[in-house]
Amino acid sequence: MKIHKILVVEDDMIIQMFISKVLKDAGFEIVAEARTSDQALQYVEKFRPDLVLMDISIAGPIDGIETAEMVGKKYNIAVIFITGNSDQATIDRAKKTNPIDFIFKPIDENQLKRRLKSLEIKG
Amino acid sequence: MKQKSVIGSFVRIGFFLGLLFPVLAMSICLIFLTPEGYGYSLFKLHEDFPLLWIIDSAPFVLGLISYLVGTRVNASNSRFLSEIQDSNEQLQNLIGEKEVLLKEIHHRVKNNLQVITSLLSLQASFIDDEQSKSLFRYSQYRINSMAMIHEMLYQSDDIACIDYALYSKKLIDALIISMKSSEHQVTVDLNVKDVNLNIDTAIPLGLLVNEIITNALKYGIPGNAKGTVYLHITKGVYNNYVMHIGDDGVGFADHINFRNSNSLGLMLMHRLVLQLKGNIEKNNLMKGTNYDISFEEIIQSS
Repeated sequence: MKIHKILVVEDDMIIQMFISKVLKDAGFEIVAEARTSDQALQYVEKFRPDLVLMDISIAGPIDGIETAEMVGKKYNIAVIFITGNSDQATIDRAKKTNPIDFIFKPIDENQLKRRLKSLEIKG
Repeated sequence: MKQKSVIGSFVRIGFFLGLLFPVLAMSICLIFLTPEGYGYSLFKLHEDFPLLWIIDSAPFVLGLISYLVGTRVNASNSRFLSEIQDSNEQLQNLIGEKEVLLKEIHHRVKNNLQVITSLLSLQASFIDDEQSKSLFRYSQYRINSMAMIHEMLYQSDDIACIDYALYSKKLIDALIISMKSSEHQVTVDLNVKDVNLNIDTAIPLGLLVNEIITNALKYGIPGNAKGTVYLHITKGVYNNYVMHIGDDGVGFADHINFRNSNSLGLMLMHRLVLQLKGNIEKNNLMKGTNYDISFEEIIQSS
């Protein structure tokens, strides 16, 4: 799987900054950073990223799971969910959208890099 | 409302019975005790004994007074009960508002703790040295173990206690996911039944579990090795608990004295056990690194 262009959807600006920095340092291109579902869908349409890193709980009326569902249906773009202490029911709901992986907070820098690199190798 | 009218009815029925009793008594006198017996007319009787008019009217007057008093008592009872009900409603509302506020505080504390872990992640990403980075990471795990408790408190119906089985599972799963690859071979043996702990116990105990499981995943079951981490907690008498925790991994190096080590993790373990008014023993009979820990539920006197 070719992963170069990544969209980061995260409403916590510090985590957003951290993810973007780590991935840029690892050689990935961050095409945009979104905080809400609307922004995410707009940037997906505009930049057509290879991968969306999607926080499950994002600002606005639509959560990350519903947004991922829309992204998957309309654009067939791979999604990795980011979550902090979500309950099992939420994880199960997220799994139904067929994400390629989950990343749990607190996000470990090396693990984040390893996960993305391993997806490239697998692909 | 129903309770009020029942009391009022009882009061009135009581007074009406009091009214009926003298009337019945007089009728019995009239029928059986007068010289002509049953045939003696009521009017004749009153003519012969004018005092009977007063005796006759007395029960009616008394009945009227009783009725008025009964109504009055009923009204004051209703007022009293209504006041109690209003006070109860106000108290319930106050308790509800306090619970909402407390939940909001726990939510904010959890969010703030998450911001702290994010800041640590960000700071660590500017460091190249792996050992220094790992110090940030282990601090994040500790903070996250506390954040999870605040999260569970605002999500649960019981604002005072958390279900420790659920918490332990979440904590250990999160540590495994964070510290191992997705193809890890770590099994969790969790046996925590009916253990509900308050925040003053849950936080130090969570930090203690975090330290031991972190060490187990780092040293006991290194890399992608296969292994099991254990956590069994049983409730003893009163507020005492016994916890068996550890792993079946490679075990401690013999030269390390777990009671007198320079490792922050081991020092924290001893301090946290003291905070929980407990005792820690290393169980050398089992494979790997295992501890038997007793502790008390901490009740804060405010």
